Amino acid sequence: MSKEFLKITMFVVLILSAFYYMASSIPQQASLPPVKEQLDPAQIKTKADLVNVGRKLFFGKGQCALCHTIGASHGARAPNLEGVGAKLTREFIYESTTQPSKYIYMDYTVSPPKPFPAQMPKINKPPVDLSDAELLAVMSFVQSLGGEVTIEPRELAAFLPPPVVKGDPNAGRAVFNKLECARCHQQLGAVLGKYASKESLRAAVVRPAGAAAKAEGKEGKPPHFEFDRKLSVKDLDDLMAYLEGLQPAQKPESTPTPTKASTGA
Amino acid sequence: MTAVRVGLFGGLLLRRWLRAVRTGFAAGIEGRAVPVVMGVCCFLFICAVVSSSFAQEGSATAAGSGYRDVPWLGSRNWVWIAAQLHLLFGGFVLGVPIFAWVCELIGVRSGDPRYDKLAKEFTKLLTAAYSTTALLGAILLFMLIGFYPKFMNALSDVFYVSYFVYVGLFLLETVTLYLYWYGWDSMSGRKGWHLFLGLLLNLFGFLIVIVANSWATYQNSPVVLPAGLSPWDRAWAAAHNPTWWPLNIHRLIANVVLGGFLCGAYAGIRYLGAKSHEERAHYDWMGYIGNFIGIFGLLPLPFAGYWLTMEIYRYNQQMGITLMGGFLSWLFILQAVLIGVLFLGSNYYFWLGLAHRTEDSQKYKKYILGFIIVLLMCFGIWMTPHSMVASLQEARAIGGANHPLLGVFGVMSAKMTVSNLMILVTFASFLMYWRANKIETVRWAKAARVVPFVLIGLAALYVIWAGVYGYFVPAIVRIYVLSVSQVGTVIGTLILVSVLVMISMRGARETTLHWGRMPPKASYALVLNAVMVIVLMGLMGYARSASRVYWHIYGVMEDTSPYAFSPPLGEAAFMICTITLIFCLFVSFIFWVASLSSHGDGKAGKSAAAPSMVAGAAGAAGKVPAH
Repeated sequence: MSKEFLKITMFVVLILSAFYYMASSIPQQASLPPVKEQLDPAQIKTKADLVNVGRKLFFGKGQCALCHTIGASHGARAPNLEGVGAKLTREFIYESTTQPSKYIYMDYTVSPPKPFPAQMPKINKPPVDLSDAELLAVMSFVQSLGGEVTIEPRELAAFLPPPVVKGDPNAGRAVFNKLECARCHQQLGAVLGKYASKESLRAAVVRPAGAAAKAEGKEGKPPHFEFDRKLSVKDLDDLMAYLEGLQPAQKPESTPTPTKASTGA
Repeated sequence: MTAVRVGLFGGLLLRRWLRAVRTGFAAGIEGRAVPVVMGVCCFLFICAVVSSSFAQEGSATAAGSGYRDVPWLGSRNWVWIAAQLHLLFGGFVLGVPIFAWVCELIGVRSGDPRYDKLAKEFTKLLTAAYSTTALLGAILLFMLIGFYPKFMNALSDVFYVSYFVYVGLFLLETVTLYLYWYGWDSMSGRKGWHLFLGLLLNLFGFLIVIVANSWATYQNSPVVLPAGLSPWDRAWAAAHNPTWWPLNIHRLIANVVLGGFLCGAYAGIRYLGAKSHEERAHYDWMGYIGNFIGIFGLLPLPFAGYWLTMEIYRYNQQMGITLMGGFLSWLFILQAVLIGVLFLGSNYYFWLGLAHRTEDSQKYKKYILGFIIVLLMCFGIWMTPHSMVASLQEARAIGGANHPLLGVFGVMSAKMTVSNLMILVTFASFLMYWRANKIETVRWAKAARVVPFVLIGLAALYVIWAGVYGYFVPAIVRIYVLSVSQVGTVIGTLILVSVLVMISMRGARETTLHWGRMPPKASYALVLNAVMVIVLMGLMGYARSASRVYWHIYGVMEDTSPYAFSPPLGEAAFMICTITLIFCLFVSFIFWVASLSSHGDGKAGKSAAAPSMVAGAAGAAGKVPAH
């Protein structure tokens, strides 16, 4: 039996080797996750820039070219988009990409004609999930296919992130001293290192009861007193700029009020 | 230092286990509890050591990214191995009770003890594999929780109530299996109750698999879950997604196919090692039944697969294109090759049966030659790709990206046609074998011999016509009208002809079927079929998973781990082949353990084959369905 078993095992290995050889001989292609390129509206100055970005999205992240072709093709699965820019309005392109089944064509190859629902996914929803700015870029590319691009680059300004206001660290130090933060936060440099981002640090200053207290191991101690009301937006920005500038283990440049702990009382 | 101590302790455990194996098996069946317990202890120890290293490696990373990893093989590959092994064992454990129960039912209805013995032998394999399935399921679960905590958390948010259902069903199935197996002899006088237990076993098994399927299909085709739903409503809404039922049906049939071919391979190997003619006859018959069950499931399987793919397209065309026209399109060429070999292997086994078991087998030669030609042509067309990677010079030489021949045979219309034709040819092969040792005694005997083949021929003509017509109509007509009509025609023909032949066989005279005469190559054909099915399941599991591309839950939860890519087919094939080999060795070991009990009482094969060495002997008495 053991001899037979060995022969059978060799036979199985042979079959598997043949399959592996065949699978390795055909075209090899891995499916990689899409590269996450952030569209930066500030970099788009002209309509040509916009169309170029739209073209990249059409063949890349948008995956439109999986089904649509530009020009007649043997393997097309969806309408050929050659020249559609001259036929379709901006509104219709928007509707077709975000609600593909809103306008349903009729299939006249059957009698009586039947609705021919589009099976295209909504490209502003997952899994494609184009952002509004990206959608505008794709629309401009579709318009450029035989038509005039009516989308202006400046329209993308609406999608620009809010400008970052940087505070003044010196003014922030004054705020820090005015609020007497060092009364409680003596090892501030070490504590600051525990915050993963600027946003979480900012949240901890404004709403300290949860995360900040836990981060410093001071659960149950009195939290900040309505700093979100006491501080103006500028004061807060300045304070954040000062805190961000502190290196870990660096003591705040202030003269803390003596406490029981520091005096050994 | 700790590592050295751990190594020494592990080595000690391993030595004790090996010693226990030797002494336990030497002591007989009762002694097997010792090595099994020691083996489990050894395994748990290894798991504990490995899991603690996982925790040390990964705890820091999991909090931020939601993933943990292990060096060398990587977390994704570990999950791949555990998941595929679990699924293969699960498929076997859920598929075998279906036909074991059917065999028992046939035994009860016909009064032939061979079927009862066969059903018992199938169930013996089932009990041996059951605990391994559960163990692999637990390992898979631990790995998922350890490596993919964020994803498991998200899945549990939706499905946690279904976990209770799953556990409840699992307990019920375990209890039912124990009663079914251990009560086999003691309930021999109450076969009705025993059959009822078998029915319950299958019911619980089916429910278990559809609960697990709901989790897997939700990953591929998630539905929108409105806020404010109760946990039960939420789990139900998520379970009831578009690919749930297609996959349920597809897996149910595939489990039967896997179980059938594995049992066939088991019988084939036992046949090669059989010492007596009785044993050879028994395992020859068991191999035939296993192959028959595999083929029986294989015939409707492409239809279930077609339904599943159609639902994927309906749910998300992009996912469908990724599968059939995107980077996975070449996978379907591999699938075609595997299924093609499976059809050839199964038919070859039937033909060997005709040649060696029946008398006057020469008359089948010309038909078999025709079948081989048709099968090979269909096989060739099915594995023809739509496009080839060609150099510019080659592209110019063939006049474009597509060679005229590839353009014609590489498309869906051709593939649907040839897959249906292969099913019809296989059915015709089976039909020939089914009737090989029978002489109809009904008045319309001549028509009974001709009409089935005429119907099959007509069905084949329609399939070819619809396939050709498919080139001249829009894709939507081809997919929803012509392909469906081809499938309907073939299924209809299969059912109609089967009923017709069954009626015509009433009271038929039977000649002798010589069991135990098959050459060794028949056993190798059975093994080939089993390996093809295992690889096929691994390959299609990869396809289902890779069709989600970089999503854990398609469109809902993105895979942001370093393993968010799908490897190319060569790499995937290496993993699949390795897992297949591990599975085969695992199954061999389990079957070997199961076979020890028959050595122990010394009457397994003999008692099963004893009632009749040749079907004709009992068949002439009108007792045995000789197919």
